[in-house]
Formats: sequence, structure tokens, C-alpha cells
Amino acid sequence: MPSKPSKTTLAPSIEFEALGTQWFIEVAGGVSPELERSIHSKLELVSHVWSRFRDDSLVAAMAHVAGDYELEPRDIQLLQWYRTLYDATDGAVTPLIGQTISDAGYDTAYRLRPDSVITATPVWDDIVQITKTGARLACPVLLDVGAAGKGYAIDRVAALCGDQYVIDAGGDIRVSGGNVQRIGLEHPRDATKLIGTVDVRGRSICGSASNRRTWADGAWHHIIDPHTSQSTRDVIATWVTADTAMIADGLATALFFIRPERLEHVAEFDYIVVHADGQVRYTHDSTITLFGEEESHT
Amino acid sequence: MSQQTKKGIIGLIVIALIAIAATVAVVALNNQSDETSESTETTTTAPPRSSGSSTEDQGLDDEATTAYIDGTYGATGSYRSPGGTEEIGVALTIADDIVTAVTVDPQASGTSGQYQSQFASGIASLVVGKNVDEVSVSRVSGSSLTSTGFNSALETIKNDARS
Repeated sequence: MPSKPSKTTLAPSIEFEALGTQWFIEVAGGVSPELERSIHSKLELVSHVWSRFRDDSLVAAMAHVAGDYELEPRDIQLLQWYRTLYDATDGAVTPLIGQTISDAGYDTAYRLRPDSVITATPVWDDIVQITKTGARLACPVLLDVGAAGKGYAIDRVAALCGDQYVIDAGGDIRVSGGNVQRIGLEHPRDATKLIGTVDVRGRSICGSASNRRTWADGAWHHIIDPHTSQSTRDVIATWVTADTAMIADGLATALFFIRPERLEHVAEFDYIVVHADGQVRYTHDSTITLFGEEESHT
Repeated sequence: MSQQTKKGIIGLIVIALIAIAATVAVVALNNQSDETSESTETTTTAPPRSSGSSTEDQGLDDEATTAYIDGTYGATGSYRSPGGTEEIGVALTIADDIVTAVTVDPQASGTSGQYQSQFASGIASLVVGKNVDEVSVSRVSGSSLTSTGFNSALETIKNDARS
């Protein structure tokens, strides 16, 4: 899988697979064996709590048994961030979508064939209550934190990496304050091309696209609207830059459902949204460059 | 909403206000009966005509009174966009029966005005892809790089389909 080499390499970097994607981490002075171990440890912890794809995770337990679950403060924060997104998007972004997306075919076996009946996504307040110590479930529920979970994991890893780092988890990227990384925006329909660049310093950029993880001849993709139990159609790719990867990741998903103006009160961010008809809406920030007709030259 | 739509709406409102101002100014000079033009999309505070230029006035010896009292008059246009109902305010300043200033005041619907200008957003409809090799970047953000499990499942399915 293509991974552009860094032009401003800080030091020997590490690459590995985790949470279903390829990770690339650069740290000033190099990634020490201790740091590498603690990174793997942290990702294993995150996966052990939140993975929908292992049967020993907390999410797997929550899918079978109601009741009170203890969560660490950072995990509670992730749920609270989801609640914010849920409220801002009128329920379109929700972690309670696990059963819906699973019935649609994106289940633990990657069956990729939809059931004839797709479970409707439940209303948050019917099922989940965030408590001081974790979450209380009124009945079992299958959670899916794909919307912001990778960003969350990136932030957890970043906390281990000191002041100067670049963390790239399958194209969701967090850059520390001390350096600038020029990030290429992959053309949603042609992986050999870029549609623009974003200069990222001390921020995160996360992207979301609907056209890769598709199945059933494109009738389904992995971003599902819980109100209709169908995949979204109009927006095909989004990118968001924000202070943290968890925020950028969640907003990149939210922009499949609502206009950026409706998220302004939620966080400070910049965005690029690509529509199915080819139109691109984006923040006119000096760090963002899109390649238009006047820029192309033969 | 797009800048073009905004400009279109502003244009309509300005034209409406100027049309009203011009129409009534002509009326005052020609002493004809009143006529106002209205756009279904705008609510207008019509500039009040100066006292002394009523339609009954037949006098040919008008002094140099203005048809309009100098001042600033406002109109609000509202329209529906995909994001909901939006409003734009337009104000005209009239002095000596001449429009001397037009100001446009975008208004966020339902929230305070500070949110309206937080994004300077636009549409670039002519985005052209450049080859990855042509562009100097440190890293690439895109969907082809994600989800190894999903991709291998797709491969398996494709292989199964072939057999």
C-alpha cells in the first residue's frame, strides 16, 4: 500500500499495522524501543475497549449484557465527544450504529452482504447514559466508534511521543507544533492523483471517503445514515483539520451529513468537502491549496 | 450558501430599494398617483417622503424640497437555502434624493452574527487532480490507505467470485 516517504524526516521512523490500518510514526531523535513498546501497548488498550472486531473487547461485552460499565476518563471523553456530534447532527453521527452497519454487511466477518432486514439505529437516550464512571446501558447495544475512534487512538499515541512527531494512521495525520508537514489530498476517484494540499503544523487532519469501502456493487458504503439505514449519497469525501485528531476525525464524518456552518459552535476547524457532482467546498485558509483549472499546466 | 447566491439576493434587494426610491421620486416630480413596486422576497421600510410633496400638490413653483427625507433605510431579504432560511439585510442611505451608500449586512439565521463570518468558504468547482509525483508532499491523506481488513475481504470476495 502506497505510503509517501517523508520529505522532512525527523529521524528513523516505525511502521506497523494496528486498528485495521497502516501506521507511520516519526519522532525527533528516533522512536526508541521503549517508546515503540508503549505505543503498541496503548493501541492494544484502545482496541481492547473499543474494537467491534474482537470478541474480548468491552464493546463485545456491551453487545450482550446491559448494565454499568466502567470507563477511563479518556474513554468517557470519547463518548462525550460522540454525544456532542450526535446532538449537532440530529443523530446522524452516533456510536449506536453498530448493529445497523453489521446487518448491512460490515460485520466482524466482513461478510459484505446485507441482511434482508437491517436493524434500525436506536435513539441514544433510550439505551446509553454517560455516567461519572463510565456508561450505563439500559439494554445491550453494539457500538461502533469508526467515526472518531481512529482519531482518538492517534491522540492517545501522540501523548506518548513528546514534542516533535508525525503520526500517520492510514491517512489520518497528527503533526506536533514544532514542524510543518505538507499533506496531499488524495483524489477520491483516482488514487494516483491529488486534488490539493494542506500544510499542517501543530494540528491534525483526518479524511473520510465513501467510495473505497463499498460493497454490493456500490449499493452500500461504510458511512451509513441512521435515519434511513442507507449509505449517504451526496458527499463523497471530506477532510477536516482541527486541534486534535479525535475532533478532526469526528467532524470529517459529520460533514457527510450536515453543512459545515452547523458545526461552527462545536469546534474550530477547517474543511474540504467533495460532492458527488465534483463540486468542492472548502475553507479559504492560507494553509489549504486546491488545484483548479488555472493551476494546471500541460 | 454560495457567494453568487448572496450577491444575487443583495442585487435584487438593492434594485428593489432603488426602484422604489426612483419610482417615487419620479412620482413626486410629475405629481402622479403613487406606485410602489414590491418583491415577494423582501420586506422594505420604504423611505418616507418629505412632507410637502403630497400627490395633491399641483404647484409649479416647488421649492427645492427633496422627495425623501435624508436618512438610512433598511430592507431584509430572506430566502431558503439547503441550510435553512437565511437573511440578508441591506441599508440605503439617501441624501438629496440620491442613494449615497449601500451596506450589506449578512445575518446568520437563528444564531448570532459572529458565526456567519467564521468561515470564508467558497466553491471551487473546477478542481483538477495532479499526479502524485508532480506534487511535493510529506504524506498523503486518502481513503485508499485505510482498512486492511476490509480490503482483504474485498479481495477474498473477488477471488471467490472468479472460481
